[in-house]
Amino acid sequence: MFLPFLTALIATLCVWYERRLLAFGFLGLTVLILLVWFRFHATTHLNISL
Amino acid sequence: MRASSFSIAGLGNLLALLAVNGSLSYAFFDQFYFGELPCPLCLLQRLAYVLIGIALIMNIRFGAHNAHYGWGFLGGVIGMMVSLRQILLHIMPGDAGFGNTFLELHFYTWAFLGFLSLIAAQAILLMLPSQGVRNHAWFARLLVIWFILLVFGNVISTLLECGIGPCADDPVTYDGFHWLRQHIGF
Repeated sequence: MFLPFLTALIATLCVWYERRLLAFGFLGLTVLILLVWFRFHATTHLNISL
Repeated sequence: MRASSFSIAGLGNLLALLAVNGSLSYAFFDQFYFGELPCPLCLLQRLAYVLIGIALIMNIRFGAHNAHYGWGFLGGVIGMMVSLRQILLHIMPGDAGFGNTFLELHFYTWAFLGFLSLIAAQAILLMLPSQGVRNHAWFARLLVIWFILLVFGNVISTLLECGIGPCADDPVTYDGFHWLRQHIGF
């Protein structure tokens, strides 16, 4: 689960070095990975019916 | 006419980033001082705070823009979704909930209220004039550096807690640290 934090860190560094579009790209990647982990924990992993 | 250097939207962005930094710092304080390791859903909530924080530092570094606020709203909605999920997991009468409490509410309930407040704050900031939000003064830089260090701390902490795979549902040890020691000799 450290991967989305890593992509978020890269996004913050892109913001610091003023690479706006690259930051958007890594931000999108972070959201995607976060949603995959959330789906994993909300369905298969915890095995709770929604 | 000389442009005024004071901007309410600029101040609001700095205060919102201060709130995000404060929340993430308190989460670390609870983790290291009370030895309570964050659960997987707690980590996702931290990540949602990070998303909002990135949107705010974009406003501070580049100036206010709808796209930045959009990412902030998205982070807030995702955070609300995850924290509400955790609230619902422990909503049954008699359930003691997960982890410590702060002022009689669990952290995930506070997180939900935090996301709600940050979404409302960003909605208000979006209505204000956007001039003067870009800020490279020492206080703004300090807040941004503090935020970057918190994100870096979360990368290391999550790697040591979970390794490169999923985290334990109720983590009690730094499994990732043991995994790294076994596989890499770290």
